[in-house]
Amino acid sequence: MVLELFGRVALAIIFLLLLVAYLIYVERKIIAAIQRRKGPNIVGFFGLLQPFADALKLLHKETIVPSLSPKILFLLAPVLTFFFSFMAWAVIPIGAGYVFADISVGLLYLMALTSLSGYGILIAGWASQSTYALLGSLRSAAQMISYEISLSLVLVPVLLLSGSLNLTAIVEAQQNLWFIIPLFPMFVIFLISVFAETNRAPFDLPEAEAELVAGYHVEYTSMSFAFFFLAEYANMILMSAMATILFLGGWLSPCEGLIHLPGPVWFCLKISLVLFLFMWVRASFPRLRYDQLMRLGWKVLLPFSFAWVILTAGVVVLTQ
Amino acid sequence: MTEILFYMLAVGTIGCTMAALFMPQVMESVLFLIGAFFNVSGLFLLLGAEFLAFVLIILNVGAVALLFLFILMTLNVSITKGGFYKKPPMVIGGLLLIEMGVFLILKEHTVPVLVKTTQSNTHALGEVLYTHYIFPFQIMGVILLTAMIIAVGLLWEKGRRHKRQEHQSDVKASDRLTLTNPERGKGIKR
Repeated sequence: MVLELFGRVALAIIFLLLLVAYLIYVERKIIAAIQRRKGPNIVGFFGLLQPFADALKLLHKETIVPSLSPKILFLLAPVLTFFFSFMAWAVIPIGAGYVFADISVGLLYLMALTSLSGYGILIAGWASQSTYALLGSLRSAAQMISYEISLSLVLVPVLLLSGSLNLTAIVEAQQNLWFIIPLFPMFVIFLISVFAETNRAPFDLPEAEAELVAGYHVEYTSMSFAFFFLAEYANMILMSAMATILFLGGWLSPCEGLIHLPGPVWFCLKISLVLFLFMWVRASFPRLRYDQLMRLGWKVLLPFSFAWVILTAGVVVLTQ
Repeated sequence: MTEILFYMLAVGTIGCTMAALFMPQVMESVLFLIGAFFNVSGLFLLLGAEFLAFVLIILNVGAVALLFLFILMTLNVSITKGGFYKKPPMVIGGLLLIEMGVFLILKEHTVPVLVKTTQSNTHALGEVLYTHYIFPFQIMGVILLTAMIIAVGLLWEKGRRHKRQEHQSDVKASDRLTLTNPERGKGIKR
């Protein structure tokens, strides 16, 4: 029983790692297509073996620890980041009944893990003993705290409409109407906050290549760097899964009775759609300036989502 | 199983709190404090209070301790000589302990409201919070609002010693860049 569960978890993690590796490949291909380049096309057919080449290259490099840095914290930071981004998958239902732990406060669990993801970056920046890394991690902490508030406020209307914190129940509440239709503005705000929360373009200030070289992971090499890299993409997939569950009806089919596909397939298709949006945005928008980022978070997204929470609550009370 | 977990978490809580007090570096103290929060939330989970457990992590670990780390990093108090366990924290801690003891001795035995529901504990908590405990709950809100207003007021000093960006005087793209569509063979006339 325990062994079987262990095996299933191990399988899921390996599958996720493969998914992340190929997500990086797909991103490079998509951005290349948007910029009229070819992208990776040398290693393997259509460059399909590129992820493995990258992984091998990273694996056989030397792990360098800066002489001044506290070693335990320095090595703990990437592991923590990686760990948190994979832990969240325990509660994500990919189909009716396809979930590891169907806990009653699934959404809170996800929120807790997202709020923890800042720690890896903060510890990394501090333990690196480098100004660039410190600046990157400070920016990242400020950014994550600011956008987390609007992110959690976005979740409240979803809770009000579904009446449950359980992710399976939230999906089942969308049987008749996906929440993206009544809560479309919230979906947009959710996406913007998620871009900021995962440190993706146009909010990738913590690792701005041009000014901070690479921000918090400037001192990292080899596998410790790979951990950060994998965690970033795993977080992207996780956030897309959250968007799918909260707004796009999870594993539910958009055209019941027309095309018959199993639930998990719909789930994966919807996740891919949101992921494509991530890449499209990265290729299209320039990075925001720091004060613009803060203004957007505190003065635009926060009041708006707050107003929408009150509006939704009012409508829910009126229609009861 | 539950008992083993309980003792592990209890030892973890006490150990992490002690480490937070006696670590030589402030940064490490905060990290151990976070460890203590995790253990406490584990204890809440064992009690079946999963809402409280996760809210503890979201608020205390995800926001408060993160801001604390943030401030420590910007202030750059890397090493405090002789550790963080200098007198003031010990005195305050001792006073709080005495207060708790006095309170436990003097308090009348008020029976907490027991709500028996088949609902999840988030539902139950909401129901009690907005009926029996509505006034304490609202007063908490007012206190927090006051704290927020004071924090803003402290920053809103007269004379404005801080620098801020004037958005009106920003360089706009249209000041720097003009788009023209020159006729063929004539070029741009200035």
